Amino acid sequence: MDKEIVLEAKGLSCTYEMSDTPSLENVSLTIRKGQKIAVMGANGSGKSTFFLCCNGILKPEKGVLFFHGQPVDYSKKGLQRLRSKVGIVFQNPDNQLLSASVYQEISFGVLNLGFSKEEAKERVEQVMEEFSITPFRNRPTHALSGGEKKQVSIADILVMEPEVVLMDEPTAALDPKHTKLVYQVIEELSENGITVIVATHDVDYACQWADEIIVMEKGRVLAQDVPQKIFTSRELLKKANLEIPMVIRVTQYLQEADILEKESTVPRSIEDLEELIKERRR
Amino acid sequence: MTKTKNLIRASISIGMIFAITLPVNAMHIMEGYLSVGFCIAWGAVCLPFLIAGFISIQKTFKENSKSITLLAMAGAFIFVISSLKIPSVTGSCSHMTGTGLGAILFGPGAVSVLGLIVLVFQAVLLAHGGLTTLGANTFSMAIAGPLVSYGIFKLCQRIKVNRRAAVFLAAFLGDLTTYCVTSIQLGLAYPAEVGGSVASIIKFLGVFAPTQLPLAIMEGIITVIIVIALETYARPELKAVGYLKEAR
Amino acid sequence: MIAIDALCYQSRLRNIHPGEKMLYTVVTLSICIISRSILGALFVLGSNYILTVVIGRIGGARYLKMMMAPVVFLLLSTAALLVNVSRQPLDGYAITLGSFYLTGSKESLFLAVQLIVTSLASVSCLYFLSLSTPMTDMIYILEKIYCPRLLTELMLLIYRFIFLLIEIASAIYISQNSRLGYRNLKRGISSFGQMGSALFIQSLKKSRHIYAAMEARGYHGEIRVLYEEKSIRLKEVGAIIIYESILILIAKGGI
Repeated sequence: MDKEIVLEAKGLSCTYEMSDTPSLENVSLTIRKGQKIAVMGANGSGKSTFFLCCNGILKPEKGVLFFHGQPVDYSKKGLQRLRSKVGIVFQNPDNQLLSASVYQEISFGVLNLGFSKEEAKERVEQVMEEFSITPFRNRPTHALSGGEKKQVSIADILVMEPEVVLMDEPTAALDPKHTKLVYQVIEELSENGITVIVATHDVDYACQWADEIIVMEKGRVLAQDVPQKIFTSRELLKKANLEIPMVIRVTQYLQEADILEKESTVPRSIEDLEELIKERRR
Repeated sequence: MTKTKNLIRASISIGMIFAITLPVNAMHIMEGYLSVGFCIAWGAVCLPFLIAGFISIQKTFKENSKSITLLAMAGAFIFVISSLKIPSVTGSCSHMTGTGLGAILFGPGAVSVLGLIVLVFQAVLLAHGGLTTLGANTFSMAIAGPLVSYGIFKLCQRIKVNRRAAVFLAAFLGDLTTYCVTSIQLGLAYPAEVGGSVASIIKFLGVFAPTQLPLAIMEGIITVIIVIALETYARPELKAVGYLKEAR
Repeated sequence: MIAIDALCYQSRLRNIHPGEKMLYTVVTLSICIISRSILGALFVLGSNYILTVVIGRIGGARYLKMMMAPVVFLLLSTAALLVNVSRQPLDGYAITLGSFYLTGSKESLFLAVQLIVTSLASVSCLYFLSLSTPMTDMIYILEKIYCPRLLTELMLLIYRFIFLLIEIASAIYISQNSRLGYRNLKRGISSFGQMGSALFIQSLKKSRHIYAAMEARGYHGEIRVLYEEKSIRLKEVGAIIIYESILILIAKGGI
C-alpha cells in the first residue's frame, strides 16, 4: 500500500547567488509520508541546496516543488504555512542558534507559529524535558558543548511539531554519546509517523536505517532506491564516490568464499547478517 | 606662553610613565567620573544624531529584512575588534576602537546606533566606560569620531587621494577626534584653578597623548590593512554592506 | 570567553528579578554622582562588596582585581586635575620649576579624592549589575520600559554573535600564532589586520546562514522570544527603598 506523497520535486533547477554553475539541475524525486530517507553524495552535490528548496528558503528557477500535491505558494502566508510543516535542522548549530538563552532560543519557532505565551511556555518546557535539555537550560548557548548545542538546535525545530524533518548531516562533529542521542531522536520521530530526511555521509547508518536512499552528484539525482539495490551497484557507488557499507562488503566476501549462498536478500545491518549466518548453519 | 608649554610638558611626562607599563585603551570616560549635569547634557547632545542614525537603520531594515543579522554582525564585529589585543611597541596591551573602520564600512548613521550598543556592552561586559558616562562616550566615540572618519574618507575619495592614505587618514584622524573630544569633555567638567577650562583641556590632552597618539597611528595602519584586504578578496561582501555603492 | 559574562551566570543573585537589580543600580549610581559624598561612596563600596562577593559568591580576589580595571584612566585624569603650572604657588603643594611652580590647591586635592572614591563606588555599582545579571535579562527590562524594538532585537542578536566571532577570531589567532604570525611587531600588525578581514568575511557569511535559519523557523520581521519570568519580591523592593533612604541621609551629611 503506497503511502501518500508528501513532497515531490519535478525538474527543479536552482542556482546559488554567487556561482555560475547550477546547484541543482533537473531534480525530480518523490517522498512519501512517514518514510525514512537518506540523501547521500559528495560535498557540493546539492544536498543542502535541495533542503533549502524544501522549505522555501530557495526558490527554484525552473521546475516545481509540490507539498501534499499542491505547488508551493511563495507568498508570505504560503511560506509560513510550509515552514510550519517542514523543518530543517542545519548542520552547524552555530549557524542556527540566535539567542544566548536556551529557553528563548527554543521559544522562537513556537511563537512564530502564533501560539499564545502560555501555550508556547508549555511546549518549550515539554520539549526541554523530552530532549534532556533541562540540566543545562540555565547556561548560555555560547557555553554549551557541540553536542549540547546540537540538542538545542534539534529541539528548537521539533518544538514546532513539523510533519517533515530534514536534517543536514546531524551527527557531523559529534561525540559517540551525542551521535547515539541523535539517532534515538530520529527513531522516535519515525515512530511518531514523521517523515525524516537525513543528509549523511555515514553509509553504514544509511544502509541500516533508511527506507530509501537518494544519491546525488553535481546537482543531479543519480538514483532513488532501496539500500539493497543502491549499495550493491558498483558503478553507482563509484560515480557518486560512496563507500560500500561494511555489512555488504563482508556479505559479498562471504558469498564469494561460498560461506553464504548468493541469496537475493542482502542484509542491511549486522543483526541481519547474524541472522543469515545462523540460518546457513542450520 | 611658556606657562602653557610647561603645562604640556608636565602632563606629557606623567602620561609617559603610564604608557610604558599599563594597558592602553581608547579613551572611555569611566563610570561615575562626570557630574550628573554633564552626563545628562552630553546625552542630550547625542540624541539628534542617534535619532537620525536610528531612522537610517530602520530604513535599511524596511528595505531588506535580511539586514537585521547583517547589522547585528556589524555591531558584534566592532565590539570584538575593539576587544582584541593589538601588537604594540611597548609590549603592553592595546585596543583599537574599531569605530573608524566601522564608519568606513557601514557609514556614520549605522555606526552611531551600533556604537551606542557596543558602548553599553563594553561597559557591562568589559567594564570599559560606564552607564552614567554613556552619553559623553557615545558622542566622542560613536558620533564625532566616526563622522570625521567618514568625512575624511569621502573627501579623499572625491579628490582622488590614494586609497591607503585615505583609509589611514580617516581612521587616524577619527581616533584623534575622539581623543580631543574626550579631553574637551573632561576639561569642561573640571576646569583648572589656573587657566580655567582651556588649561584643563590642555592638561588632559597632554596626559593622554603618549597613549592615544601611538594608538591612533596603530589603528590607522591596521584599518588600512583590513580595508585593503577586503577590497582585494571580498568585493562581493563589501558590496553587500553598501561600501562600494558609490562610484569611485 | 568574557570573564564578567561567565561569572554572572554563576552568581547567587542571578534569580532575583532583573528589574530590582537594575533599579538598585540606577538609583545608587545616581545618588553617588549627584551627591559626590565621600562617606556615601564608602558606604556604597562596602554594600556592593557584601552584595557581590559575600552574597553573590563571586571570588574576593577576583573582585578586587576587577575593581582595579579603570585604574589607568583614574590615575591619568587625577594627575591632570592636580597639576597646575603657575607663577603663584597654591595652598596644596608646590614644586619649584624654574620661574614657575608645579602646584595644586587643597581644594583640588579634596576634589581628586572625592572623584576617585565616587568613581570607584560607581564602578562597584556597575559590577554589581554585570556580575549578577546576564545581558539577556537586561534586554528584557529594556523591552519592558519601551526601548525601541529594533534596538532590543539588535542587542539580543549582537550578544549572541559576539561569542561566535570571539570563537572565530580565537581560532584564527591561534592558527596564525602557531605559524609565527606574531613573531615581531611588523608581522604581528600584518597578521592582526589579516585576521580582522577574515573575521569580517566570516561574520557576513554567518549572518546570511543565521538569517536563513531564522526564516526557516518562521521569522517574519519580529524576533519574538519568551523570557523566563522571575518574581518581584516585595521584601527585596522594601530593602532597596530602605537602603537608598539611608544612603541619601549619609550623602546629605555633607562629606
